[in-house]
Amino acid sequence: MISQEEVPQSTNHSLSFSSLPHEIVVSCLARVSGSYYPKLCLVSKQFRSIILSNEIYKARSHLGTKENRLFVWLKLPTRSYPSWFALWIKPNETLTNDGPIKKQSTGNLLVPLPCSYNYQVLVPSVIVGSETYIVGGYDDALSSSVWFYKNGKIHTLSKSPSMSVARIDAVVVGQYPNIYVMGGCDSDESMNWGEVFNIKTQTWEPLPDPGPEVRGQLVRKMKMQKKNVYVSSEKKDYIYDTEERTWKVTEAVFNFSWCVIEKVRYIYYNKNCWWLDTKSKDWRKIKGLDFLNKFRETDRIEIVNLDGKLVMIWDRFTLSKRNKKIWCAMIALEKCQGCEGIWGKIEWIGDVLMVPLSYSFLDCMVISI
Amino acid sequence: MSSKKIVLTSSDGESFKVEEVVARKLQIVGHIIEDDCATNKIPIPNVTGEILAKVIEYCKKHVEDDDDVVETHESSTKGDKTVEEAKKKPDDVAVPESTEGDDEAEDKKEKLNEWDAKFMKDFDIKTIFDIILAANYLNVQGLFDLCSKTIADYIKDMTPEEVRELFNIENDFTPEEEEAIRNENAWTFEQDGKQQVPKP
Repeated sequence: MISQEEVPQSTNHSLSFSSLPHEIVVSCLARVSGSYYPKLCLVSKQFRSIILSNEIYKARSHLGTKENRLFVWLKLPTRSYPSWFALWIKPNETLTNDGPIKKQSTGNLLVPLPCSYNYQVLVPSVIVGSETYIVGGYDDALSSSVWFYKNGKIHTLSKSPSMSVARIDAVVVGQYPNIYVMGGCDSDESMNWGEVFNIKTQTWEPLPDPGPEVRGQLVRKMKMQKKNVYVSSEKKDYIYDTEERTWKVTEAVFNFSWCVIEKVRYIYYNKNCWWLDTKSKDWRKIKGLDFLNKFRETDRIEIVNLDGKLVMIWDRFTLSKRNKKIWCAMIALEKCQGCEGIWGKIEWIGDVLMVPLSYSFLDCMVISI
Repeated sequence: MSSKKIVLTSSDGESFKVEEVVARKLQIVGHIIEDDCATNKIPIPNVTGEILAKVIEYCKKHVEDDDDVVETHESSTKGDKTVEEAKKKPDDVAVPESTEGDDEAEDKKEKLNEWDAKFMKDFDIKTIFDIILAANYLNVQGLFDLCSKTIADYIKDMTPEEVRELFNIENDFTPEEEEAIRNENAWTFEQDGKQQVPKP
């Protein structure tokens, strides 16, 4: 018989969370929704330190507990550069507005990054093929550096040739083998306000000068279709022809905000939300969203897919007309059984941020973090 | 022919006779069996009998889970444990995809999740801590994930004061530090959300 070595086990009557190994604490916190991080910051210095760290975001990635968050990009007159905000949705507060919409606050807010809800800042990036490029600076830091990593694996991060000018929160679009970068630098930078990087030759080249009017406005977003780069700035939209290397003004390309939810395409247009019926190839109105009647035809409304729900974002003057407020509505979509239509049910609607009149709404997106 | 039995002995001398297939769910035990460097008696010096009984109960129930079992030719050592854990998806967090023919497997999964919830419901916080430490040491990934999730679910529904009290955590902020953090996150505490967001 083999003798068993008995190790005396000390009984710890006051075993506490703090005595758990660090990686176990991280593992537990990584399974809590970020919505709760602001209050959990108050528990202890250890909790706060973990919540305000990249470590917990790596853990969330490993564990598969990432969650979708809505980010909004605004230019405020009090700041030199545009700022990112995250939509913090108050936990356990799904308010259903039956009947007329009351002007009660939901507690949901756009909060500036970085914050305890979302410690990580967003970086200007683009995916081309299997490579992700991070282009220039972010979070109030100018930079001409370019980094890339392969197949979504951040640990393969490597340097790429630098741009000709330092930029911050530039707007980037890519279509193999080219990456186009515009803005994020001084508006009088006529030589290199726009640049293009060829992945194959690993070289940067300047784009033709679009002229002081284009350079003088913030670029909101870009997209590329075939040979054209569509550029949306604060006031106008432009097209850059990559083959003829020419610029021209165009009708508003990004006027219609659209998104896809569960393989159905949705669009906001002219005081209504519509969905594309692929059978009849017709745009059909979402039922139940009568509050949209109050909107004006000139209002700009963004719509995004957030966890299978339609989120609308728009702004309104405050009652005093001295400021504006950004509003959000979260709408659950239900397919009507008999009539093959789609109903929208408002889960909550309310203002989420007060902004100065002269602010600019640049962009919004949903990212899994 | 009956399958092989393994005797696990806890730190306080309690013995548990289990099927080898169950013992392998304790990956650290699985490695010992694989290395064939022991007989059928394996000491578990860091875990008490009370806690080891719970770990074994979980392993018996989850004996058919695909994860947690040491693969035959896997040569990982204890030092690889963190990497190994990081690669695994926790099965109690994953949402099973619904496909035809998987209805039976899905139903089984749901029953297993119900069992898990009931299993965890009976434990006080200290016991959960002891179990998660044991699961971490013995490398029982599913039980570790289940305990982590249970603790997370407790945490999110409490105020900071309640978290400190239940988990016996010292408040190591000075009053000034705590007030600064409260101000920083004031937007989450306002009932009507009308608190001004900090000026960016």
